[in-house]
Amino acid sequence: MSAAPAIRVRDLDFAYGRQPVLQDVHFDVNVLDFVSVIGPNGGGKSTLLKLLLGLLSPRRGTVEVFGGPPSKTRLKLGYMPQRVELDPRFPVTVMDVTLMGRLGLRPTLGPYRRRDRAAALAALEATGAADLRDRPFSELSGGQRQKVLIARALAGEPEILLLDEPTASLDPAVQDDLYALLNRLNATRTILMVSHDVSMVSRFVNRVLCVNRTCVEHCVTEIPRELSLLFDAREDLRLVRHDHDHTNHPPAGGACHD
Amino acid sequence: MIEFLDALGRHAFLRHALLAGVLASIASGVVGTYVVTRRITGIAGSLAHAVLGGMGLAIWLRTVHGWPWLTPLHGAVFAALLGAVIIGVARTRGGDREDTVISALWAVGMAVGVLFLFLTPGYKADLMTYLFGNIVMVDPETLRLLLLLDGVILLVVALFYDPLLAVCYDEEFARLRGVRTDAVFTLLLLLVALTIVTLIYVVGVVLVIALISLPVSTVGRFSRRLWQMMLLAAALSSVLTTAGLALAYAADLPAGAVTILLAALVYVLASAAAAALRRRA
Repeated sequence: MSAAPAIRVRDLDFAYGRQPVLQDVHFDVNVLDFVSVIGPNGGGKSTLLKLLLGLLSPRRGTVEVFGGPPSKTRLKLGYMPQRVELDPRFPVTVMDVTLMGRLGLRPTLGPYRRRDRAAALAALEATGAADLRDRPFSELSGGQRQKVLIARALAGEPEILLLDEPTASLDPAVQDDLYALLNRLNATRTILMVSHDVSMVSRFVNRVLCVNRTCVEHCVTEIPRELSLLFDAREDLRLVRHDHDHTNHPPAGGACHD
Repeated sequence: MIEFLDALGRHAFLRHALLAGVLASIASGVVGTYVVTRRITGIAGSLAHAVLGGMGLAIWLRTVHGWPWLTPLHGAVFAALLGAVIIGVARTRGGDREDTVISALWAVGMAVGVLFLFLTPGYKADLMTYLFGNIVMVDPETLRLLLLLDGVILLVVALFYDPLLAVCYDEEFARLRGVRTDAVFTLLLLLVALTIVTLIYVVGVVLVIALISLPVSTVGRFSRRLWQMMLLAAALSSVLTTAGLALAYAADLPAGAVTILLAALVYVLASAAAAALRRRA
């Protein structure tokens, strides 16, 4: 891999007022990585996501997306927020929501163009939600809403998808479906996902970052096929080493080395 | 009803009043949809009351300093736009002080209005008119200003429909897509300010919030999209202001208060009907 990293974070500190949230965060995300960010609630996962998006500024250190500050390069990012932050009764259709992903790629004044509608529809098709396009967003099930919000992030034709808890409060079957979708999207896009769910995630992701004040990378090791059969796994298992102490700073050499 | 139609034919002031009600309804249906869905009725209330300061100042300048071309409605436009900019700036710069600014603007605007009306000889009785509306005071010049305000509001909404929708639905996402959300939100506040001005003669500054929010909330459950909500709310609001005017004329009651009570009654009935339908389904 000689390509420049998609995301580069160096020596990053962040605090809300005097309350430190992140300290000494340091990692790269390479093109076409599928990274899962895990960690306890309040550990700084969502804050890290907002720093990557340029919605917050680091107190120390740097965040670069394709070599530039996120505020300059954020149109290359497709962001999916947590569903709970949206008003469920707002009068919008699935197409209305998806088209918002085109905002930055069209003139400020006037309506969306045919090109924008085509891109939004393609994004809905990619997430398997195209037949919902005229339905009110408020009438959708949880899994359908997540697919539409992923489609909205895709509609801007981003190179990196940033997802905040895409599978929270979904049925296991729907979660499986969604991870399969993300796995397909990962063929052409870098994905960084905040997740509460390590067990599901480890089947698809190639890297796991654990964020709790600091950020530690866990090794994701392919387990030999014979061994995974012992676990009665449907697909190849991967092993996530989770051997650092959350209460203290990570041991030296806690990061994963290729 | 026939009596009211007959009176409409005979009295120009009633025709002006009816037209003013419909023009105000168009603005409040369209902009009220943003106010309700974005949940900024508190800001709308603050701007409505701040308007009194501008009206008081205009009346004082007109009467005491002899500026005959300055009408109370001009003062209202000035105060509403100034208030919108103040709240917009407070929101961008002030963080958690936004709430304080909104409340302060509400009270300071009223205090300024009361003071200037007190300092203006012969104008004390007018305070009630501005607080609770007097739709039969609408003259052709006022109608022309209302028409102009409606034109400006509809043009801006047509041009900025999509960014406004995105900022109301998910401001953070819109910002990430490169939309200048603070500017768009301030634009929305300016639209709210102009809409409030159109409603002053119809229901008065105290009752404005009800006419901005009740018709929109009533039609909300029947609307799948934002523009449908705007159309339905404008239509319902037109019916309400016209019916309110007719009822008030027939019973010799203040039109603004009658219109508001009618709007509230329709809202309650629609909510009850929707709840009953849901139970049967």
